[in-house]
Amino acid sequence: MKTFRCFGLLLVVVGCTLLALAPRASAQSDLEKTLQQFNANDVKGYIQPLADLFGANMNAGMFHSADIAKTGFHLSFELVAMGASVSDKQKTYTLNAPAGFTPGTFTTATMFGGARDSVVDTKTNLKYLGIADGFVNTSIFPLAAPQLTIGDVFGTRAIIRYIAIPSIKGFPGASLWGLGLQHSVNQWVPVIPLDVAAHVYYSKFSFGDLVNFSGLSIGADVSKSVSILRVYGAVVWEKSSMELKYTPSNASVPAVDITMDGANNFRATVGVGLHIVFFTIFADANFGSITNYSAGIGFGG
Amino acid sequence: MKLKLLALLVIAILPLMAFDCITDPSSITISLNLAPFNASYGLNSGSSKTYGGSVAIDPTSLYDQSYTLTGASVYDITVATKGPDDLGNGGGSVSVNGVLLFTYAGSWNQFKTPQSLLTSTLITRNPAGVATLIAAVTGKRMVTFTVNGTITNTPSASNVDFLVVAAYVQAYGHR
Repeated sequence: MKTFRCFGLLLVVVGCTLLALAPRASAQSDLEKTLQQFNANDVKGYIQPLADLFGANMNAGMFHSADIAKTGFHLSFELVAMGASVSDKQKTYTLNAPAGFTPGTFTTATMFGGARDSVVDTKTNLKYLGIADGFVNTSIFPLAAPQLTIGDVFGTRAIIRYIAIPSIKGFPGASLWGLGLQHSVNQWVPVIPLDVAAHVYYSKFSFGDLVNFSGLSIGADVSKSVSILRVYGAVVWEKSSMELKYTPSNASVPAVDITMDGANNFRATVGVGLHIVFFTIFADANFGSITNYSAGIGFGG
Repeated sequence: MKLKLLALLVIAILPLMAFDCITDPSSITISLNLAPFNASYGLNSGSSKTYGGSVAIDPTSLYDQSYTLTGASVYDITVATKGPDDLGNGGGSVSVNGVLLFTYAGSWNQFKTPQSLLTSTLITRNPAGVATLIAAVTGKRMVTFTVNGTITNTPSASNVDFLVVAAYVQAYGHR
């Protein structure tokens, strides 16, 4: 049920976009204030799954056809929802206990975990606690964005993605933009029985005042249409990173400025879509270090 | 067209069941790494081979007041000496709000490297003092550290040699 409710959250994001209700909250969110309690070493493991899951979502759902005309008019407005699967290993991490503690490490909750854990020093019975309970309880972490695809010029199609999300229930406001190009390979190698294209896509995601993501995706896309049915796939190299920058609330703790790479570097995509005149619906699964899914609807063609 | 309307309707309705996957911030327990309780005691010159004093610290000055505390935990206490002189051998006790926190014994120079409750054999902890410190932090009461110590050599001048006590505390709570 939680999963479905998170899917609801994802659609809220789309709804907000449709309604153009995207004010940025100026006050710091609860999550940001929570992060500011911690030093770089402690917070890294707590928030790493966010880098992995957001990174995987950012690079999903852009392309669902490799059928690009050499010259012709194409314009499509699409709403795309992405969801990355949250695995058990993303719910806990190993945290260093203070120097001198025995044992020297312990396992506690990430922001996607449950209650935090603690460690007790075997010699003194002094206790040290994990930094916080989990903040998000879900098996699918969502993201959604509208996108515009426009072309076709010299067998090339452009994609533009943009969304601004207001601060919601402890999460900071966010904005995402992405730009990409998809280029038909068939025009150069016309004997291929499938539609084949290559793509490059770059995106940025600002999450409140403390967190910034960037993503790059380079891949080969294939598709085959039979009547209104389209089957598509891709192999993609990608990179995503999350930069976390803040001054901890404890004045004796140094400022935090760290960059974490997302887990995904390669993905294979398989998907299916229906294209009826000016309406398209599509869904795909993406397999890599992070498994994620995307689905959407499109108007135009 | 009906399909488009249906899709938009779904988008409009589903927000009503959204956000349950984000935990209510007021129910999330967060560890607040307080700035350390630092208490520094300057020694006076003269013929006295004893020293002592008290330092009071308001725990609420050490963490973000927008959090409601629900508990606290002491995860280390260190004691160190600073200054140019070798004050020989000695030791003493540190109490918190009148309850013994720990005793220490050794040469002045051994403590020039901070000695930790976790690793040092020169310090002996009193669990009742640790509990008193935790209770004071949780209850937002003033924390007073009192030192009484002895030395075998006297300082060359007043307030050039110091005994420094640091207590490391995690407080936890929620917004």
